[in-house]
Amino acid sequence: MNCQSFEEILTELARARPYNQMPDQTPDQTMQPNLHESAVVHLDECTECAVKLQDGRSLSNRLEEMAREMKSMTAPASVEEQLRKAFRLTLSRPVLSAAPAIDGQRSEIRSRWSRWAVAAAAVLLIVLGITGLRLRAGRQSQPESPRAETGGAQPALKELPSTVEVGKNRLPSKPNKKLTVSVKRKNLYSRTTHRFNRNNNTSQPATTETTTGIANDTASEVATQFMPLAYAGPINLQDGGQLVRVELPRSAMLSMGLPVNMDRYGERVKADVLLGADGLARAIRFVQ
Amino acid sequence: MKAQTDLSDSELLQSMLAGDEEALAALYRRRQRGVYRFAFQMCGSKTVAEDVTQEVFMVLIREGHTFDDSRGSLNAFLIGVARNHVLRRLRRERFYVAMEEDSESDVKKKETLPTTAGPLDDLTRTERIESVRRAVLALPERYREAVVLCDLEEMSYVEAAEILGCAIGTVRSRLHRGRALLIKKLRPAHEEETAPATTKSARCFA
Repeated sequence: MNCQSFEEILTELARARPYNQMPDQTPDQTMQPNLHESAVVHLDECTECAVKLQDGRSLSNRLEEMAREMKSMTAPASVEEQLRKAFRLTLSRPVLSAAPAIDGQRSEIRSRWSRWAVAAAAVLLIVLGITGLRLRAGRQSQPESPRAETGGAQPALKELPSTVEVGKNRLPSKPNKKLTVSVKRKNLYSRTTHRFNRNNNTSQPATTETTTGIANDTASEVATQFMPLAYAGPINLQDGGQLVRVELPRSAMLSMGLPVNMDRYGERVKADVLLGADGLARAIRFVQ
Repeated sequence: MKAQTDLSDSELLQSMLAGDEEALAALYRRRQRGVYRFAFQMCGSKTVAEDVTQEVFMVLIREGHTFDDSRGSLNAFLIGVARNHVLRRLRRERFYVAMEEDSESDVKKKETLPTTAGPLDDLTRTERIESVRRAVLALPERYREAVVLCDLEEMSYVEAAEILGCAIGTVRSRLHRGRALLIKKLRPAHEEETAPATTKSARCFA
């Protein structure tokens, strides 16, 4: 016997289970009756296998000790009581004998319903997915539309100066008509302005004047709407403000959620940044 | 007429399904220990073991008619159901860290147990059993169930294979590997430290 064949019967040797009593179906049916003797002979020759057998026997002893300790373990009496109660409940309902048939019918109905539900959910998902894809494709194929919209609905915003200073002294007291148009527009900037106006009526002319003044200056440019920057609070231009023209990489448009032409990704784009009196950027718009 | 204790499992089950509550009680008293012990040894929690035992017998009450004695013994059927419940619980609760369950009653019981040997021997023995229990619980599920069934519940390979739903050879190999892992886990720390050193020096001299 070599170490490999010894290893195969090590568990049985360590557990002191005679292999000639093992069931016929086991792979051990091919074992020779004198296997134990040859194992003993091998143990005299191989100290490594002897150590393994010793470890195995020690483990068997410890497991037996644990099994003896747990022999007396039983479930608490409350379990039996609850089972008896449940059994009585089951008996009180005349379903014990009819249970298989009813259960079978229920499970059949349930499985049929679940199949239909899965199919309906799959169809719904496909429809939603296609709709979403179409909408997305539609948006991507019309990159000019926001500009056109901006130009059409807010022609005054087309024109921009290179830098505009907004101070307390320069703010007009009356709101301009064009301002009303820009405030009514449903964009983020307008909403911010609205909120601000509700809180503080005096600030409305300032916002208006800023956008109107800028609009009057430039005629050849197309601009997006002002987009408030995420960290900024409500815009208060009563204390003064500044509009600064900057050049940014096109990736900045991407970060604001605007579509970017990947062919012109490396180019730079002009933008107007609205700075508050504290010097913090409050809003941005992109200009072409 | 036969007494409840003389009846076989199948006969008791038939009586139970016919509405005999005492048959259920007899069957429960006969088989609950094995189910409870198996559940406890597999998950190490008395609460879970109780729940599993109850669920197993509830299954027997509800679906006892599905048992076919030509396919195996009722004990194997019950342990098989218990195994499914335990594995489900283990998978559901694998994200939680188990807390030590040592109720006051257990502590009192330990304190009042009659001691044949000295208190130090008792303490050593308890520690030894506890270390084995922990090592068994740390085994991967497939090896743990083989060790629990064959070594702790002292079942034959055939019975274990019936419960686990696999070939006898698979049970043997799982038991072999499980025992090898247990030996490794239970080996004293100082032995583990010395073992690599021996190998290293052997390599150096070679």
